[in-house]
Amino acid sequence: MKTPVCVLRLPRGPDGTSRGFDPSSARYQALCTPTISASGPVDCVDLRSEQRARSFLRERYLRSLIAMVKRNVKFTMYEKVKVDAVFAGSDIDILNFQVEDLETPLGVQKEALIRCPDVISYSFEIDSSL
Amino acid sequence: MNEWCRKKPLEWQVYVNKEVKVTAAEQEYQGWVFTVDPVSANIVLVNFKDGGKASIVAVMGHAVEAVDVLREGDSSMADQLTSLFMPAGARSYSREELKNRKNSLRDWLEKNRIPFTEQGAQQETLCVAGVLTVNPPYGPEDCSSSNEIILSRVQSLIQSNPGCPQDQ
Repeated sequence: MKTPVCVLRLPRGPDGTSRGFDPSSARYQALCTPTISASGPVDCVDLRSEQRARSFLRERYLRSLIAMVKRNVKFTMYEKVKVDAVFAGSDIDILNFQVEDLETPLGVQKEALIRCPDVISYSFEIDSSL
Repeated sequence: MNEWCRKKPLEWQVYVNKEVKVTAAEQEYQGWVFTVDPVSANIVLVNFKDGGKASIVAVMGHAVEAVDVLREGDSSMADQLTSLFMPAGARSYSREELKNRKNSLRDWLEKNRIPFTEQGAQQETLCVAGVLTVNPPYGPEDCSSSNEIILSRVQSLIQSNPGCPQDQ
């Protein structure tokens, strides 16, 4: 059982209300943009089928997140970073993942927040009950 | 925002149940599309392995460069994908089974002299004593009420129904 290292506190990143922060940068868009992009003006029937598709897709995604909880997940991130951690949860906008026992070159972080814009992909395994 | 993120939910839904190759940040990922998250455009890919395991890879929407469809999945693949993430023990009941379960519950409530009415578009909801509702499939977990005491009473009553077909 690896000994967790103490938490490193990094300076807080800019949020949309800080002065001098560029509202057109990708980071601002990721952090402060409204989550659900609405389609252009569409008629009622199209909207209904779009909403149905949206909820179908979202429900399946949420179920995949639920299946991931407490499992070992490998995160592939930019700058050739690959880390393992135990998935704990996500925020509603899928901007941050909460993980436990994050294995880093500095040691094992007991609790950590992974920023999703830094992640390229994540993977895990489950039993397919067949 | 890349082209993938700008797609609409109906366009993303087209990819579900297809085997695709996703190119992202100089890497390629292949698998069956389980879903595309409409909030983040993340693509969840599934690969079934021998030994009853499945490997899941999700590619973040913002990293997707290209998605190529390799082949279509049939209905058995669709079922396999759907059942992967459904909670264990989840089952869907046929109309016949639901009717039987409802009638069994109605008889049990009548036998115990509990007043109830039937509500809903197809009379599918039972409203017990005006304060508790039971929805299909009429199990103890399908009761809702703002009154805790009545809720627990009715739940144990439903649990003790001798006529109800038990699942487990």
